[in-house]
Amino acid sequence: MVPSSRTPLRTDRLRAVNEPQPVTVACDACGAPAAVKKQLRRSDGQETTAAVVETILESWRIDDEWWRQLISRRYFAVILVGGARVVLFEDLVTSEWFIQTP
Amino acid sequence: MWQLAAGRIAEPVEGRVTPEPIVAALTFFTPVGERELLVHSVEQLITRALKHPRRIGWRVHAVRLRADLESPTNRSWLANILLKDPTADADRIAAPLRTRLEQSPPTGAVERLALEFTAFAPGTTELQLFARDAQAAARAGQQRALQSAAREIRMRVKRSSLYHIVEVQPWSRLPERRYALIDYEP
Repeated sequence: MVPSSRTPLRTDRLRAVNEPQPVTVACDACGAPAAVKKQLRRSDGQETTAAVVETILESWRIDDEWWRQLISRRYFAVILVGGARVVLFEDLVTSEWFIQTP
Repeated sequence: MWQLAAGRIAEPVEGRVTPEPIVAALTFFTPVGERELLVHSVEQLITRALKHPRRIGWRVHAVRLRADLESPTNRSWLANILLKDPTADADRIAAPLRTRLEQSPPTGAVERLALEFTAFAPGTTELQLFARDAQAAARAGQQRALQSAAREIRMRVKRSSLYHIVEVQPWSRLPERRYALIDYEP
């Protein structure tokens, strides 16, 4: 991180970082992710990339904020074929899958 | 320390870094055997080494002087001096080297002289103040460079593409809530 410029923090100018990106995930018989398909938005149109999950490093579940809008997620830290390390999670409320950087 | 442990201060802990050895060397056009000329050269090397930016804020504690003697012999002469009182004064550094050169001079003509400050002690309060000034000047220079780079980027891409990473909810279990980007205006 660069040192602070002492500019007053304007929260209206905050941009999200590491936002979950929707992906399509194929699961194995145990329900763990086996392959990932992602739509990439490019200037010359959309492109789909796919990758096979090589290793699942860790998995965990988060159930939170049940008092307002329930957040229920099943996370998987995985290594894709090629060596990329990513985090996948399934939104257990909507059954959608997302990808994030670790 | 307590504030750091309690998470009230987020600045990284920076240990005191001792400067790397500082070397100043001189190769003579023709090998030198005159002691006076050698002493004069040593004084010049001390002055040069003391001016090294890495030395600012530090006093010299140990000095090594190496003299490579004329080629056919391939011998060298070495003097390691540990200063009882670390100093940044050229004369006080030179004094024990002068004595060594007088009492046990090199046994041949010298082709190359290398002076090395090998150990340092923190400077006096005044020296530390100078060091802080030097660091502040360096930071100001860095800031100017950042401002100029940011201006150039804005001119080229018509918008700011530089961001700070700021902590929003670093304790959150949801990764996307921990940090955010904000425009960086140096």
